[in-house]
Amino acid sequence: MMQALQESDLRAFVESVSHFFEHSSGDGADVRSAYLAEPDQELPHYDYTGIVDVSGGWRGALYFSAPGGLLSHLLLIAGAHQYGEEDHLDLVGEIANTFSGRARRELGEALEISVPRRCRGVSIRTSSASRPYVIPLTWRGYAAQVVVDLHSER
Amino acid sequence: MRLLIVDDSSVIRSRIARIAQHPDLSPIEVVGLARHGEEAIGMCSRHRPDVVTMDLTMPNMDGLACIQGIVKISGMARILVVSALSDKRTALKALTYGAHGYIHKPFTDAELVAGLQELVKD
Repeated sequence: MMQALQESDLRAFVESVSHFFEHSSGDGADVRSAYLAEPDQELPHYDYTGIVDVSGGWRGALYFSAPGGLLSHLLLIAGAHQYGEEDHLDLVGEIANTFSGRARRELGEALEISVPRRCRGVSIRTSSASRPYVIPLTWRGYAAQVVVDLHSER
Repeated sequence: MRLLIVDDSSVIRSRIARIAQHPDLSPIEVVGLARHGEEAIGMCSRHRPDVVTMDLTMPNMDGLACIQGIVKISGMARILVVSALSDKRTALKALTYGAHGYIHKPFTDAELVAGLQELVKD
């Protein structure tokens, strides 16, 4: 039987997002309350989106969508003084991968994650299987969002 | 010390290469930057690195398979896993397959320096 992601499971992703910004920059992100989006719906997105497909005990995908300014800021913090479009795409995928990988601390190996896909300007269309959670955040004045579109076969 | 960096992210490869020049570390020569496990195996055969930093989630050949391959062809190389995968079972698997250390992404410069120091202190 298909089961939607529970709020307790969602906490693993919220913690991943908070930990990433705090640990990468020393500045925590303002992670606002997650909300449930409708299934089979187009969601707002920013300049770049990283997508990690999930299989195993969980099915679906995790999206991280961010503006170029946020990614440039993180690249500078990481010591990259010259960067361009390819670096933004690389980083947005890496961040989506990092969020998913850390969530395995709570959700375990059943959260099998793919190599990230990286897109520029592609809209996020949620699956028709379940209602995804949207986690809006702000970091150093930049708005971004994580979409957790998962269900389990438990 | 000869270092091979294995990660599918060019941003992470560049960052590790930069941190490897940290003054607290013994001089390090970066002998290769590999985008996935297959490329890493080839570079390992050619360059015989002393130390390898290894991502786990990569295309073509993932890090766990790559660790096993490197142990076969270059048993003296010391491998530091640098991965976002944070569950204990994956870390244990990597260490069982032949990795010598494991640090989680996101990592700070200081964490990577400490990880590399720990790896080569013996």
